[in-house]
Amino acid sequence: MPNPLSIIVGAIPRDCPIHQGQPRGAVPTIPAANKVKSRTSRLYFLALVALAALALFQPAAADSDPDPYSSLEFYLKYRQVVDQLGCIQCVSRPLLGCETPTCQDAKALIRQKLAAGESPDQIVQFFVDRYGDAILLNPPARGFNLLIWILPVVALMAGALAILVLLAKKGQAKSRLSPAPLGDEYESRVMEEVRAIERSRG
Amino acid sequence: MADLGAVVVLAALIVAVFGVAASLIGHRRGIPALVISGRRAALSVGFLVVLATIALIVSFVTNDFSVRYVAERSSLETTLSLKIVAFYAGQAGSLLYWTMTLSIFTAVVVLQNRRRHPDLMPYVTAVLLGIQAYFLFLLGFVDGPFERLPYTPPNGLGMMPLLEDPGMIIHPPMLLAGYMSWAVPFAFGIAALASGRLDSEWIRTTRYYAIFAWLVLGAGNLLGSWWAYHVLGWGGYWGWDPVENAAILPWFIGTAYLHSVMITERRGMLKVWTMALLIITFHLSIYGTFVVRSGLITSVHSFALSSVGPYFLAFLAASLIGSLALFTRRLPAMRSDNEFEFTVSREGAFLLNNLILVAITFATFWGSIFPLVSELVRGVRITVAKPFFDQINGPMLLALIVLMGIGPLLPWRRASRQLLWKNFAPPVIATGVLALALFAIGVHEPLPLIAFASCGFVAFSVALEYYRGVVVRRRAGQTLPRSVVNMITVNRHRYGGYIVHIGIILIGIAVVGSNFYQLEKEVVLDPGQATRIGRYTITYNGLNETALPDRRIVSAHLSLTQDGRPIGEVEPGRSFRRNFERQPTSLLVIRSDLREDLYILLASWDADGKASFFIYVNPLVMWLWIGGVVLILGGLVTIWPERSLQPALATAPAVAPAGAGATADA
Repeated sequence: MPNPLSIIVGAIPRDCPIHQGQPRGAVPTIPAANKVKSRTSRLYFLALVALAALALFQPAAADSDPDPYSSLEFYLKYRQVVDQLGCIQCVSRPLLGCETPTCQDAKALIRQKLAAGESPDQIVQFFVDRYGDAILLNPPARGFNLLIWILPVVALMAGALAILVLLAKKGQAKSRLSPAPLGDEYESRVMEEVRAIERSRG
Repeated sequence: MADLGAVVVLAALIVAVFGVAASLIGHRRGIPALVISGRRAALSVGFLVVLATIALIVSFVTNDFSVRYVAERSSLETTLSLKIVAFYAGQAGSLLYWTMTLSIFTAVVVLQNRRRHPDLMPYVTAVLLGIQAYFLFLLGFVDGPFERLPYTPPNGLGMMPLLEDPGMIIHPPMLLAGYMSWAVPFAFGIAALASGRLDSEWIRTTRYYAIFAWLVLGAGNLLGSWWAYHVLGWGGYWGWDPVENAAILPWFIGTAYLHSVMITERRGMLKVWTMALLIITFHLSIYGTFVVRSGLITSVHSFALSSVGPYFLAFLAASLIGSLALFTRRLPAMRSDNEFEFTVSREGAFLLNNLILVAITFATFWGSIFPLVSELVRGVRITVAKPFFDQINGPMLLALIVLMGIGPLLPWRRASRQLLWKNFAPPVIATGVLALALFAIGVHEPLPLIAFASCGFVAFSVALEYYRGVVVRRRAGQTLPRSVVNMITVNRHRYGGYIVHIGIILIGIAVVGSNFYQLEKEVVLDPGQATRIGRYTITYNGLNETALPDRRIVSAHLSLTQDGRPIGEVEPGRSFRRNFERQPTSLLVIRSDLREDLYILLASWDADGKASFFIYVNPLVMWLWIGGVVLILGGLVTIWPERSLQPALATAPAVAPAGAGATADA
């Protein structure tokens, strides 16, 4: 088998995997000239590889990476952490399912910390300390952030209340209509035609 | 060609501004010649904008890399078909595309109504041309696609690999066309407000345009999720991403409009409410158009960098203020013809449906802009993502589904107790049986059980409606297929609408199944190693590399078995396009059947051939796409043009039997 790694050794260097077709980060623009282009892009590439090597997390070696599916208990704890966190590099993507090297390393780190006996809350806090509240998929439910849940519920209640009040007022003002059935379009068309026939006869 | 395009854009702008003035002055002063010339201006703008679009396409096809927009998106290697569609791949081009579709739609509307609605049409023309003038201004002075580079590069960069997918080629234009289409009903609404002709004339005229807009926007959203599912590789089809939210907002509120407008048309009620919904729908469409491009949502800072962002905001504000001013001036004229009674009735169900849809729209909007609010108010960057939207919209969407089952069973105005019993007993009993059956086959969690049963309830209630309609016609001596066809053709709106409802619940079933029962596995395998997920065993045999002229592909060879039976070999991979090595696209493997999808992504690999895979089993996802097709078909039934107005008496029984009760009321 040919060595498949003539392309890239290790993980794939890349931007945010997706932002609806608009990757965040550098979108290529026209370079000054072709020659410069190839050199800059190679430099850029090397710089990225170097950055990846210097990344916050040491790439997790397979033997030190616990299998998250070894027990249900471990997996549920793992999901409890992962499901609260977003992608390290891009906005509002879940960490679960994100395959950038940074995110894969972050997930490996979570598994290692869990195996080392840290609690899910401690691990989440570790990420919040490092990246701020923005790393959480939902903002912490306290203070100003509570508005995000309260306002829609209040709006729904207020809407319902407004409708009830408005109708109660009208209900008092006017006596009720008799429940005469109303015809559908088809029926009214039939009636119109019947009337038209009667008119033409009369 | 590019220079011609630039000139044509400016010419179109001048003609559009003239058309606005001519229509308004001609109508106000009673000068028919000016009104006609406004109408012709609308047609001319259509012609000019199409010409500008052709100029841009020709620049792409002839590899005119001196045009910056072309050089950044195309290359000598780009295939011809991609070059033709590449023109809407960037901001300036998509603005041109938006303007082109609107100018064509405007021309169609103006021609269709040239002899009708003399009080409304001048305003309609003026509003539509005004919107186009604004976009042409952006194209001419802020961000035009015809800008020249100071030199001619020998080759262009080529298209971003993600955009090469067929789903990407059709879904953004579909979405943009959906946004654009709402301009037409909005223009009629504004015309009704401006002229004071607030009877049901404008509503009858816009009925088909509004359903059309709703359908196109719905199709855009569906294609968008199809693309996300098949290309992005995160195992899902909807993530409540800010861009997705922007696309679904006008669709939710547009759905509310389509329902409330039925009450307004039939019963002359809720005029204020219906008009308000229409105004909001249009402005959310504009918001959707610009949020995608402005970067507003991701951060205030990226917004400042966008060239069109501030202009969009200004347009949005001006248009909103103008609409609201007209709206408040006409408030007294929009009084109801009938008193509204909130009893157990069809109107009551519609009103609740409207309330919930508006609440969902508000929650979705609020959630999308909350990070921005937080950054502005507190200076703290936070994220609001899928968990929030699932928590808040999930219950409301469920309530909406239940209402979809209840609504058709209720008569207009008021329901007697016997009628309620007669209408509700069969579907409720059937739903109870279904819930027991679901429990027996293993659906034990309360939430999915309730959700599946609610979907079933809608299906039963629609089935009952169809059954009753057919029975009435069968009694009149029609054959079964004929009575079904006859029932639908005589009342397309109603029975087409029910087909749309069936499409929605199929989508609902897929959403519940894939959200509650998804299996997920992120696994690292050595060559020769295997992993199990659900019914499947996946054996990894090793990596392959393929070099093509413009890309290199790395793929992993996998053997699959299902319940121990071999079901084939697959090769998920990664494609590295020249110039875009940092954005390799995923070559996903998705094996679908009606029960579930097996979804495999090659995530990464190392020097020893060790590879990591993300594997998902997504139950029932196929029904999402089936439901989408059903929804579109149902929508087409409702707007399919009536053949001739042949007498209804000739094809149908004389009078619906009194026993039909609620079913006789559309």
